[in-house]
Amino acid sequence: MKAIRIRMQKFSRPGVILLATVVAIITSIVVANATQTITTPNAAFVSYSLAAGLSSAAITPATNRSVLVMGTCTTIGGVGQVSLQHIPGTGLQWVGLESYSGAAITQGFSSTAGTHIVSIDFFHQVDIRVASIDTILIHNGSAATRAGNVTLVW
Amino acid sequence: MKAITMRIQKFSRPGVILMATVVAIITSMVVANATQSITAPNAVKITYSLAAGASSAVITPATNTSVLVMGCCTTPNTTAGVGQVSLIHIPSTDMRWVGLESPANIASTITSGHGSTGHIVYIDFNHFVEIQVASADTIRVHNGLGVSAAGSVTLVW
Repeated sequence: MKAIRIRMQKFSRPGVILLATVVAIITSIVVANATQTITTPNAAFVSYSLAAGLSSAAITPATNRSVLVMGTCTTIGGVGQVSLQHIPGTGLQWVGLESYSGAAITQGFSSTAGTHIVSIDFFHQVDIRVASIDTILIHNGSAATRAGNVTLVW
Repeated sequence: MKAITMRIQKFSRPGVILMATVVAIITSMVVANATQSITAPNAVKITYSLAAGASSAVITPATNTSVLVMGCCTTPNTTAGVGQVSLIHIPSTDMRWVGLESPANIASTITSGHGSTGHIVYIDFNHFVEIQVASADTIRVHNGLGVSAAGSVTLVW
């Protein structure tokens, strides 16, 4: 202990300040990394069976975070997905991929009911749409009943 | 209490009916939204380490629902990469998918299709390691590199 005290007394004042700064920087880096939390994600599973021209009930995605929205039509096949952000009271914005066939990037920002987000069936007749400023829905634009499901993960 | 009773009595009959209708609509909206169930998603992580030209054991994705399939190659470092698709497994029929190939040199490209054999998505930088359709009901990882490759594939649904 005496030896340590003697050794510390040998450091100059700028040396001590420099040492304190290094300790502070290392501490802040460790604290900054500690903000990353590993959690179990949430998922919402919505199944649908819609007659021709009908829409599902509104779905409210989680707010102010990226939500993976992937949907499928089991009647005729097809799958599509977007990453979506719900900004409460403002609207929804998204980017993703339209269903096969005719896969292409889909992207947008809207609060207007009826705006297309992503097709989830092979013929691009079943899609996820904006339902309101805070909600989405599934719409069957085909001439026959279509069933499937939509999964939200966040 | 008396004040509240008097205030209710002041509403006209059409006003009360209107109020009841509004309550009924709000209630039905809540009930309709309640069909949405919030749960912890399912996930499967498969690690692979494959010799040159080898394929992994087959993987059977969940059926009749969209499954996020994302994979990466971690070694060798020269061809590390990542790719992903949304996939539907229609049992005894085929796989159908849409997603993004691992970026190679400049930009990633879209991958989409359906079938019971063939390429689904590349998961390494040089496009030698891929997820393939193994059969109508299964997929697998294939290493087309001249050396061994390792990494993982995660399925979320």
